[in-house]
Amino acid sequence: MTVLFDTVTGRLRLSADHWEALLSWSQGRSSPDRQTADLRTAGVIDQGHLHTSLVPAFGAALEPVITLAVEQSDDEGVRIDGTGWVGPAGGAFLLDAPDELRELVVVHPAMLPATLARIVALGPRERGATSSRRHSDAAMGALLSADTRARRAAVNEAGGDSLSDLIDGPWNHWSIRAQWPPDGQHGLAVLDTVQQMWLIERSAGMSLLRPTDPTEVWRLLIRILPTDDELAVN
Amino acid sequence: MIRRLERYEDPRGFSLLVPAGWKQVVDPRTDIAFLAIDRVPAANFCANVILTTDDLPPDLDLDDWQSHAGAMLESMLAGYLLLDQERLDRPGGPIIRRLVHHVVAQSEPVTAEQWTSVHGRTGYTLTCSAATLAYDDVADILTEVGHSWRLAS
Repeated sequence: MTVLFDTVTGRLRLSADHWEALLSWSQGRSSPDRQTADLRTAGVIDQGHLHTSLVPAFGAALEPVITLAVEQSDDEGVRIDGTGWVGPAGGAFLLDAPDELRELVVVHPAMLPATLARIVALGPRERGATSSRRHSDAAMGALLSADTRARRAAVNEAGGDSLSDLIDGPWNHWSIRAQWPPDGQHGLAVLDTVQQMWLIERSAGMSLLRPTDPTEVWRLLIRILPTDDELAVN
Repeated sequence: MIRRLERYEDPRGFSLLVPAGWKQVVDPRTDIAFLAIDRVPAANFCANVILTTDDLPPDLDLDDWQSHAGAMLESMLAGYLLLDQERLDRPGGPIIRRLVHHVVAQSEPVTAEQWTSVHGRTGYTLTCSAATLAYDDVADILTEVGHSWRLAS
């Protein structure tokens, strides 16, 4: 059974199939018998109701005001994606977890910046580079390849000592996009290396890498959420 | 909204810029040298500036002191997350600056920027705190407060 639920803490890890079944069940649609039975056995569905610790998360997931998409990839080619929802009364993230499971993390909207910071492992970094760099999207693809040899060739081609960390790692390339209806959005993309954090700004087939630091990234994470005015306009 | 800063001169020999209109509080605790609080809460938390002092043993330098202090913060503050830390070399001596996130009463998330330095056998910690969701609005001016702290030579 691939449903792991702690009824005390509300920590829930489950397979993609079980997540889809739970969504269907919580919306009153038919859900596969086997997965639904697993959810009952684990206590996620308790006497015909969603466990109380999960109610705010599902309120946000089913009727989100804001949707968040998190994508991460590292020097070993490991990719971790996540989806978040923020509703009037709560928020939640569904994140890739080991063993092909997904973990549902319940978040109070006020804690969203800290949750995002923990997801992308924001913390103290060296401040090495002082100037911005510009690379084509193709060059960026090679610089962030999962293959070490391809990265080494790309770093040599780019001629950048400040990017030498990309060869052996560790590094983390992550992005967060917040969207709200009908077409509002904020986004943030970061290349996080040992020597330097970079903000990535893409336009017209080019990527601008601008040196940044964790303090600026923290402020940008706070700004990911729309303001009341932005929500009102949309 | 902070509109301007004004310099506060303390008779004990230090000075710093403080947001105009903030309430300056005399705290009876001997390790609190200065405390000023915004009169208007943002996101259920009143931003504040607090300067504390520590008597340090003779063999404890800034780095060692702050190594201990960082571990203590982590153990004492709920929801502690160290976001940034850097060592700045200044004419008046080195400073260790850190940015942390933690949670205070009523589950309110707070972002705090700390500036720490050692003069003689006294360790000084200037902490500027604001509600996390309001932090971006006041970050530049709180950083200016942090840079402004001076000890009379």
